Amino acid sequence: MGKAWYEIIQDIDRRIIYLVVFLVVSIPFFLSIRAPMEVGPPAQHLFDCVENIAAYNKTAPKEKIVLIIPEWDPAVQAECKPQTRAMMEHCMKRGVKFATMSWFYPQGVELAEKVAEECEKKYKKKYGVDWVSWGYKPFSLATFLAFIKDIYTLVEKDSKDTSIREVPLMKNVDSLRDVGLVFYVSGGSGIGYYINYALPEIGFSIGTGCTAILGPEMRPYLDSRQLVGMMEGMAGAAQYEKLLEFKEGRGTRGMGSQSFAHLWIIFTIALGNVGYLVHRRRLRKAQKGE
Amino acid sequence: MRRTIIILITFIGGLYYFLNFVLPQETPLVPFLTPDIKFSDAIEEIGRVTLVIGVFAIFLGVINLSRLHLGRISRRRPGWYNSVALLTAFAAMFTFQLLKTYAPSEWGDKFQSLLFDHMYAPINSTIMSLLAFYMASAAYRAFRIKSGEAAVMMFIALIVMLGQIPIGQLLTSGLKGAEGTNPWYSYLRLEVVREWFMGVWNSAAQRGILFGMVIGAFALTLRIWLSLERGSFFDREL
Repeated sequence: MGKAWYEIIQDIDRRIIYLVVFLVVSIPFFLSIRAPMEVGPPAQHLFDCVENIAAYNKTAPKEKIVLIIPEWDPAVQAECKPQTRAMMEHCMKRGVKFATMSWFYPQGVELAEKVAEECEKKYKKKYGVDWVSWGYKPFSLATFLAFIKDIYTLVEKDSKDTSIREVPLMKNVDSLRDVGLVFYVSGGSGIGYYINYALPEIGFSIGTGCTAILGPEMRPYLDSRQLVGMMEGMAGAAQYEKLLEFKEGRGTRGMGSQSFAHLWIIFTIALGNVGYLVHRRRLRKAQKGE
Repeated sequence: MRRTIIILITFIGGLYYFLNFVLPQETPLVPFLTPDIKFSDAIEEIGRVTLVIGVFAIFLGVINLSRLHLGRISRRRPGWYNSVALLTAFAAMFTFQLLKTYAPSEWGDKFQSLLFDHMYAPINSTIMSLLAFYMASAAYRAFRIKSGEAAVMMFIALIVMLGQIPIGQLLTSGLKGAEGTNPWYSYLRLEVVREWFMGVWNSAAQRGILFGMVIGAFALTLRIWLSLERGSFFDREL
């Protein structure tokens, strides 16, 4: 005797599920699906922080810079790259200078440099004047504490091997007190070092771009205002792109795939549960009948 | 004797970090005797020392890995060809990255880009993307409403998933009030409810987990600092 319908929908072949996931993720990349994305408070607050720095720089005698920490590798670049790009484009658009460096991922800063090079062409900005790369520095707590105390003890040359004191942008940067915002983009949790050690000492704002899976972990820091704002996963990048009034950024485009993938997961969960509940009901009825 | 030295170094090292964190930055290293040398000045030198130790650790790791896999190849152990692939990939990436840094040339950069941008990056992304397939399959098989708690969890998961995507947000977009107003029903929009769950309920739970972790870490730190920890390495005769 064949399986009943409620048993079949509880046990769909995993290859069918994989195939549909593949289709719902890949097809939207070739279609231009534009759905309105609502901007949440975490992305809005991060955006406002950069805007405030831009406004401050217009009147203040000494400019503040943004320090972008790209602690990501190709594994999480689907989420972290659009976040890094959105922040870099915002800085360049508003004339806020930025530096970039990484502690845990040597490839992170290299990948971020490529993003910055793409952005500088778009906004006609120049390396060394509008942005600089401090390169990769292997992490240890002592090194990090020394960096907080004096960035020049650790950063002697930029990633292009130029003496850091000769980089025009750095002439305006004496210490981390000249950093208005640290933007930590990561799929890991190294941001704790900035929150625990750098924030009490320096007092700058810290924002984060994180993978969606890390978002819940970051919420207590947002609640306590230790984090000024956040781009949470690809949705966070898409929200930020909306604030930047991009017609179609990488994050916004990726949301089409994410939307359909979520809908498919919800559909399969619902299907499995309908089968399970009907099955349970029939079993109970049969038991009562006995 | 060796053990005593290690215990002493561990204690002094831990004490320095602790005092560096709690003492004001201007505190002299030795009060009244060295007013110009600050307690926190030593952190730069300690930073350099730890970097050197870290480099040695990487170096040892490379030697260990090479020995292990060369042994597997020479003894033709099952799967020895995987070791060949690993060592070849390691040697190629190491060589071309060094060439790119210290002797840049057009062909060297091209090879480095081929290895990093066109091999390592796609492989790394592909492995991570497999998660989407496994998660979809696992959610379908494991997520069953078998109890009241499971029903609550599913309800919240549904809101969190729908509240994150534009299509989900579109479902309740009609609940917006007029420009500049916030009627009561606007708080029922999926993205708002999602934000409430994430910001309030999730934060509370995360904070609880964090407290537990920190207390555990604090206890463990104290045990290591005071050399009370016992384990496979700590009990070994030194």
